[in-house]
This record gives sequence, structure tokens and C-alpha cells, in this order.
Amino acid sequence: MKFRFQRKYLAIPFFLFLILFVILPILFIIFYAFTDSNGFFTFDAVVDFFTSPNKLNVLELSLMFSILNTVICLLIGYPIAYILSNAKLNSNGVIVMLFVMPMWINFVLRTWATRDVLSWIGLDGGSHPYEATMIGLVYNYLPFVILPLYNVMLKLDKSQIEAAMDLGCNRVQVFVKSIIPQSIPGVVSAAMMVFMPTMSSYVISDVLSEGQIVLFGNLIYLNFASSQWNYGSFISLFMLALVGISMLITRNFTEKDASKESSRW
Amino acid sequence: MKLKNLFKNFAIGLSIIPLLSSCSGGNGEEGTLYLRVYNAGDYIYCNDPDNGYDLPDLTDQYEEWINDPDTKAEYFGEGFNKRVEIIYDEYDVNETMYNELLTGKSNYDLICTSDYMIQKLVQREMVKRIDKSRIPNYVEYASKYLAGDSGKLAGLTISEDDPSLGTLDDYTVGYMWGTLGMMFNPEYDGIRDRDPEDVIDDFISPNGWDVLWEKSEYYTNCASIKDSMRDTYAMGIAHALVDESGKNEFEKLYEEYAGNYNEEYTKKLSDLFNKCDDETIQLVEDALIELKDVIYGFEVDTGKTDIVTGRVGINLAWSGDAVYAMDLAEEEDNYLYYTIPHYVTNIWFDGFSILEGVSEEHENAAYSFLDYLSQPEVAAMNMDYVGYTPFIGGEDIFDLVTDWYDPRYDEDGNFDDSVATVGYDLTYFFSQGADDTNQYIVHVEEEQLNRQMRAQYPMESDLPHLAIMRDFGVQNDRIVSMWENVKVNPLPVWVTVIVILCFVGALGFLGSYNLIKKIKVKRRRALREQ
Repeated sequence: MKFRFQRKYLAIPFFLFLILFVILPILFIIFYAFTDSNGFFTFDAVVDFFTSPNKLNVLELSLMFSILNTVICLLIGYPIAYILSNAKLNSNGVIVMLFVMPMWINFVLRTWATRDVLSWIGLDGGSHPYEATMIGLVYNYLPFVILPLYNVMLKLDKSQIEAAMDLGCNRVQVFVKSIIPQSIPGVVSAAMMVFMPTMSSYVISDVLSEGQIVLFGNLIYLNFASSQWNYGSFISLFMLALVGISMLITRNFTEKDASKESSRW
Repeated sequence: MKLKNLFKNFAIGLSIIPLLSSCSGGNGEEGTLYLRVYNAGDYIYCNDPDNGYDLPDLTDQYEEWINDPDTKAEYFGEGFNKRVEIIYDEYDVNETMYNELLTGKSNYDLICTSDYMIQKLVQREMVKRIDKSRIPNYVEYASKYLAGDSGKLAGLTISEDDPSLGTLDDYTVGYMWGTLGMMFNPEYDGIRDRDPEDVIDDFISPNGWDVLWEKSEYYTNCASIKDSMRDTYAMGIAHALVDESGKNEFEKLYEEYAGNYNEEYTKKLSDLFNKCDDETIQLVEDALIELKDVIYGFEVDTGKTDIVTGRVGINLAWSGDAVYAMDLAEEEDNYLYYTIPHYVTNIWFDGFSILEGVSEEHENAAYSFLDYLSQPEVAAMNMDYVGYTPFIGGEDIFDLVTDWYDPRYDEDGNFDDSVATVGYDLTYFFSQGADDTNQYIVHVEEEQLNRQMRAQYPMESDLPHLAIMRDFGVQNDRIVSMWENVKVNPLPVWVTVIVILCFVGALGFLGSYNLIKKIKVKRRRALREQ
């Protein structure tokens, strides 16, 4: 037998990885989500999830935190990204680096440090669990908003903005009619980078609220820790579905699209 | 051809590996036997020269000990020539370990876990009975108060329905034990309008569990409690179990048997403490939800450091963690207290069990390891390092305890009789049996009655009121959902409405955006064509 190396063999490690760590686990989750503890098919976990006021409550609380976090991050991140994309201010990218620098440190460590800082300024998780969690979430996810927005802002079609000004738009109109539409792809991908991870965040809420706030990620952990694998699996699957749906809806807003969009005119 | 060669080389390589490893043994050893041990984290002596623990890890010391030919022959019989090595892994909480065992994929020989978990494992037929004749050190040195036929371990029957299953004592070799209590810092800033003296009185009073509920005007936002279903349930039931007139059931029992705490009392106390019918669970749930507004937060293992750094002033603590925190605080001249509320508290045990399906050789190794751990000098080393109290009694341990707590001896061992002390009776623990007439009394400073000493060994007067907490059994699911109810935060209706509106709005916007864009492009094209 003659063994001839082909370039496609290089993909074998990747496929093995994919099967072992992506496909198989998902199959396991699906299996556990629709079986009972004896391995028989059942919809128990589904019924339990949609009839349990607690679990729906957690879903709602997580949605609330996710939406708020997304909105606040965008409100803070959008102007920052716009200002940073101004070449004069940020000629060598140092300021962008400063904003992204916290990501170099592991986020668990950062969260424990945040806990101390918050209690130092009097916003400790014991008396202000909601505020502390919210601050922690925004702090952690802000770089994820700034980076994609910054990238989009760099590629803003300057000639379109100039044209808008030449044709008599005032500054507000230029912003609303040219800059915002051009940056929508960045906004959507930034929002996705924040929204879904917040839903499943676990350490931040646990540490900063002193265990007083249970988000979706904590709920999954709680179920697995009490040996309720089937319930836990269904909740995980439900979250996977949420991620999938939001991916489907937003897949048209990719960066590739943005460049096409701007070069068309 | 290349591939074939590769296989060939690989095969040669494989056949060489065992040759190499058997050579390395050197003194006639054939191969290696790996004993796989699974224990909770930070629960065994480890080399740590920075803090004065100079000896090698306990597992290394064991390997050196067992690989001595004479010792080996003693535990494995003649003709066993393999080298014994230990693979030691750690888990964080019992439930993780249990989940891992349930998957059936882990191949541990020996696990160390808590009382209720062993009970559960026995019911699932996952652990073997212990043959006491093979651990002579344990039989000789383990405190009669805990192990043996009349010890505390024997007080936990595995199954009420099936007495043939025996007691916990038949399945586990005790390792560490302790109590659940309240640790507090009377000088804590967050306590409002309360003198330190009064704070101490509050918690030392017999119904210390009720303080957080009934005196919340002083103690709101001061306490952290364990983020664990069982420990909070214990605290909840000690407070919430009341009769029709609102009197605490434990208090009632305490007064009913006043001074005469016999076996009947122990039985009744245990039944009360382990009550988990739907009605009781509801009571506990209500109490814990009420407590949630009073406390600072739930903690997994930060409580012991938080109380030292001053983040919290009160902590629901296991005795060993309390010892750790009190020692740490003392280095900064900050004195914490640990107390066991008098009416009832939880006594817990961690012990080693041998898993079902372990081969004979591995079982021999497991027994040798358990016997090694049961030597008083080894147990003393462990106790010094871990901070929890071992099952083992004996001279070495008693000397260590005296050395720690007797203030009359200074650092050089000089005796000074003028220091005021009180006697702390540990005869119950160190007595070697009925014919041992020695009194084992440690002389301690008076404050120690509510400090490390009390945490390490409960006072003799505490003993009747210590109750073992059993596995919840069929009620487990009910209690899990109770715990969920406690942890989850209910939201007002208007939040629900807003959240749903926002979510639907965002989805709607994203969904329609594309559609609108397409229409726009079409329209523009049409315009251009015109």
C-alpha cells in the first residue's frame, strides 16, 4: 500500500476535535434532555421547565440582565469606538489597546478583583446584588463591544459622509443617515457578542452578588450539582437553541456584508 | 511502505516501554501497582516549606513506607513484588464526586466523602464493607466515641427498612469529623448598636440559631452562610421547627429531658433534626427566604477568609474552617469566636470507603493506606496541616492538643502555674475504653471555650445535642426544589412585561431589517431604471 500525503489530511485533527468536543457532547445533551434517570424517552424535563415558575423566572432575569447589559455596553461603547476610530486621537492604537487590556487577564481573577473594588467604593454585593452584578457584567463585556465597533468605524466610507455633508445634511443628519446605517453590522455583531454570553454567565453573578442572584448559567450548574442531569441538559439545550435562533436571525449582518454594502455605492 | 514502517517502529517502541519501567525499580520489583485515591481538596498534609511544613507530601511518605519489603509483606503477603504508587486526585464538592462515580468511567479504589454520601453510595451498592481486622491501627487508635460498635458512626443505620445493611461504621474508615456552628467577630463594624459583650451573649445563648432571624435589627447584612442545600437546611430546621404555640421543638425536647439526655433523647433529637416531610420543608423554605433578606450572601468557600478581612462578621461555618479562620485572624490580633448552639447542631464525618469492583491487590493497597493514615503520628501531622480533627486519638494527638492550647507552657516548655486556666474534659474522645480510667483534661484559657478548642473538640456538654444528618432519600428532589425557591429571585410583573417587549422588539427589528433592506434595494433599482 502506498501512502501519499494529501493536503486534506491536515484537517483530520480538526475533525477529530470537532467530533469529540462538539458533536458528541451535543448528542449527549440531547439524549439526556429527553430521557429520564433510567434512560427511557420522556418529555419530563421539557414539561418541568415550562411549568416551573422558578425556571421561567430565572430565564426572565437572565434576559433582563442580557438586554440591559447589551444596551448599556452599546451606549458606552459606541461613542468610545467612534472617538477611537478618529486617527488623530489614536494614531498608534495605544488607546484601543488600553481598552482591551483587561482581557489579557483571566476573567475569573478580574471578577474577584472587581468584588474588592466594588466593596471598597461601597457597592458590595451583599447590600447591592443587582447593581454589583450589572457593573461586573458591563465591565467584562465592554471590550467585546468596542472591538467590533472600532473595526467597523475604521472602515466607515468617508466619501459617503463627505457627500452627505456636501448635499446639505447637518451633523445630526449625517450621523443618523450615514454613520449609523453604515455601522449597523458592527452594532449587531457587538450585541451578539454580549447578549448570548451574558445569558450563560455564571461566575460573575455568583461572585459579585454573593450568591444571591441566579442566572441561567447558575441554574444549569444547580441542576447538575444536585444530580438532575436530565433537567440540566434540557436547560442547556434550550440555551443552545436560543443561541442558534439569534445566530440565524443575525447572520445577514456580517462584516463581509458591510464591505459589500459600502462598496456598492 | 512508509506507513508500515511507522507501525513497526511504534510497535517496537511500545514493547520497550514496560522493559524500561521495570528496570527502573532496580531491587527486584516487577511492575507498579497504582492505588487511586479520590479526596476533597486541601484535605491532606502537603509539603509547604513557606508555612513550616517541611516534610514531603503525605502520599510520598506513604509510598516510602509501603515499599519497604517488610511492610509490604505485612499487607500484601509474601511474593508480592510490585512497587506501590499512589495516584491522588481531588474534587471540590461531594456532588461532583458522586456524579463522576455515577458515570461509571472513573476507576478509583478509595474515596473520601461525607456521611450522607456514603449512605447513598451504600444504598446504590457502590462501596464495599470494611474488614476491620485489616486496619489494626484504626481499631486501636480511633476514638471509641466515634468508631466501633458503640461509636457515633454506628448510630447511622444505612437503611431503616433493611437492618441487614448495617451502619455507617461497617462501610467507612473515619478520617475527619466536626460540627456545624456559628463563627462571629463581636467587634465587627457592620453590627449596629450592639456591644461586643452582648453580641457574644447573643450567640452563646442556647438558641444561637435564632439570632439572625430574631435580632435582625442588629445583624442585617453581617452574615454569610453556606451556599449548600444541606447546611442551610440544618440551620433552617433548627430555627423553624416549632409547635402550635410557636415554641421551638428542639427547645421543648431540651427542657423535657433536662439534664438526663439518654438514648431516647438522642433518638428523638435525631428524628426531629432529620424531619423532611413536605410540611417541614415548607417551614424551612419560608424561614430561609426570610433569612435571605437578612444575610450578606451565600458563599462556597470564601466565608473563612471574608470574616478575617472584615467583609462579613458572622459566618455559618464548619469547625475546621473556623479553626483556620480563627488562627489567621489571631495573627492580626483579631479574635473570632466559634460556638455550637446548644439545642441542636449537626455533627458530620468524612471517611474513606473502598469502591465495589476493586481487585484484591488494590484492596490490599487501600487497607495499607488506611492503616497508615490511622497511625497517631500521621494523623497528628494531618491535623496540624488541615485544621480539621481526625478520628484518631492516642498520645500523640493528645500531646499536640495540649501543646497548642495549654497556656501554662511557654515556647521553651517552661511551666508557669500562675496563668489562670479552666479544665476542658476530652476524656470522652481519648479514653481507650471502659477499663481506661485516665482523665484526659486539657487546661485552656477561658476564651478557648468558644474558640478553637470548642471547634476542634466539642465540649462534653455539647455531645448529647449533636445530631447526624442523614441522606434525604426520596425527599431529595423536594428539597432540591425548595433550595431553588430559596435561591431564585422573584421579579415584579412590570419587569416581566418590559423584558418580553424588549426581547420581542429586538427580534422583530432584526428580522424585519433584512426584509426592509431588500425592499429598499429593489425600489432604488427600479428608480434607477426609470
